[in-house]
Amino acid sequence: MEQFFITIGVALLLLMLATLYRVILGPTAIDRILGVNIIGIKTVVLIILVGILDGRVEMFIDIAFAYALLNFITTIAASRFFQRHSQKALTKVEEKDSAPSAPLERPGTEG
Amino acid sequence: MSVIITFCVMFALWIVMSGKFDLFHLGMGVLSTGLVTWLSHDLLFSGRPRKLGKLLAEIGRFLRYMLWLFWQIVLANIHIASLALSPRSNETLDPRIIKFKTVLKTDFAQFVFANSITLTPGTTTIRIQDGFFYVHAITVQSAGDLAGGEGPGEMERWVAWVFEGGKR
Amino acid sequence: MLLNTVVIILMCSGLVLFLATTVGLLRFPDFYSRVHAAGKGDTLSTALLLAGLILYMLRDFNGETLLTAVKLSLIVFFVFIASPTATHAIIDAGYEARVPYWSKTGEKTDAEHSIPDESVEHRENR
Repeated sequence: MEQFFITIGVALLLLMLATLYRVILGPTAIDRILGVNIIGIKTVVLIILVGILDGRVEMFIDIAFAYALLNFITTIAASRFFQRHSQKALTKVEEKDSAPSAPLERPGTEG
Repeated sequence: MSVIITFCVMFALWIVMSGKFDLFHLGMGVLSTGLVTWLSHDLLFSGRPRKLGKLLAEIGRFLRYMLWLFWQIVLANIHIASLALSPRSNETLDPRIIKFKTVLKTDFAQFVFANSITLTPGTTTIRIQDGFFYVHAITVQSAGDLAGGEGPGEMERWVAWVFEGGKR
Repeated sequence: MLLNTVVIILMCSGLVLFLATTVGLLRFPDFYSRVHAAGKGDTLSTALLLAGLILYMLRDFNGETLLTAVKLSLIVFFVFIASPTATHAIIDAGYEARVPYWSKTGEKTDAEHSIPDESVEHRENR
C-alpha cells in the first residue's frame, strides 16, 4: 500500500509540474493565478500523503488545513488585486475612445 | 436563536480542531467561541427563518438538494474530462456568455444558486448584478439547459424550493 | 483487502480527473474555458483523493483516527465551498479586465461584445 501512495504522490507532483507550464507561460496574469490556485489545492493532498507515509497524520493535517485556508485567501486577494489594477488601466483607455463600458461599480466591493 | 446555533457550530469546530477534552482546553474554547459568536452572530444566519422548526425543515430540504447536486457534480466532471481528453475538442467547444434574470430574491439563495451553477456541467457564474446572472457556458447545450426555455430552469426551481418555498 | 481495493479505485479516479483538469488547463483556447476545466475538475478530484485517504486511515478504528478523519472531512467540506467561490472571483476579475475571448468563428474579441444587445441597453439605462 505504501508503494501505491508513493506512486500517487509522484504522479500528482508530475501533473503539478505540467500545471506550472501554464503558470510560467500563461498569456495573462489571471491565467497564472488560476494555475497557482490549482497547484495549491493539490499541495494540500500532497501534504496529507506525506503525513500518512510518515505515520504522523494528526500533525500534518493541521498544516494542511492552514494551507487550504491560506490558499483560498491568497486566490481571492490576488484576483481582487488584479481586478483593481486592471480597472485603473481601463479608465485611462476609456478616456481616449469610448468603448462599450463594463459595469465597473459593483455593490459591496467599495472600501 | 441564531446566537445559540452559531455558538454550537463554533464550539463543535473548536472541539474537533483541538482534540483535547480536559477542563482547561474546554474553558478556553468557551471563551473564544463566545467572543467569535458575539462578533458574528448575525453573519451566518442573516435573513434565515427565526423559528427552529422552519430552519430544520430548510436544512432537510437542503440535504436532499445536496444529494441531487452531488450527482450533477459527477456529471459535470465526466463532461469536462471528456471535453478535455477528446482529441478534437476545439470543434465541440462553443463558448458564449449568457444573461438571464433570476426569480430568487434572497442573497443566500442567490449565493447557493451561483455556486451550484459553477459546479454543474458546462457553466460558470461570472457575476450577479441587480438580479441578473451573467453565466459563461462552454457549449450550446449547457447554455440551453440553464436559460433556454420559458421560465426558470431545473436547478433554479430546486433552489427556490429549498429556500423560498416555491414549487419544484 | 476489500478496503484497499476501494481506496485504490477512489484515488485512481481522482488522479484521472486531475489529469483531465491539467490537460484542459493546458490546451483549452481561452481563459474562460480554462476556468471551466480548473473549477470543476479540481473540486471532485480533491474530494476523491481525500476520501480515499480517509478510508485508508479508518482501517484501524479508534478515537484518534476518527478525529483525524473528521478533520479531513472538514477539509473536503471547505474545498467544496471555497473552490467555486475562488473560481468565481477569478473569472469575475478576468471578465472585468476584459481578457480576450475566443469564439467559434475564430476571431478573438472583447468579452463585452458577446453579450446579447438588450443587456447592453439595460446597462446604458442605469
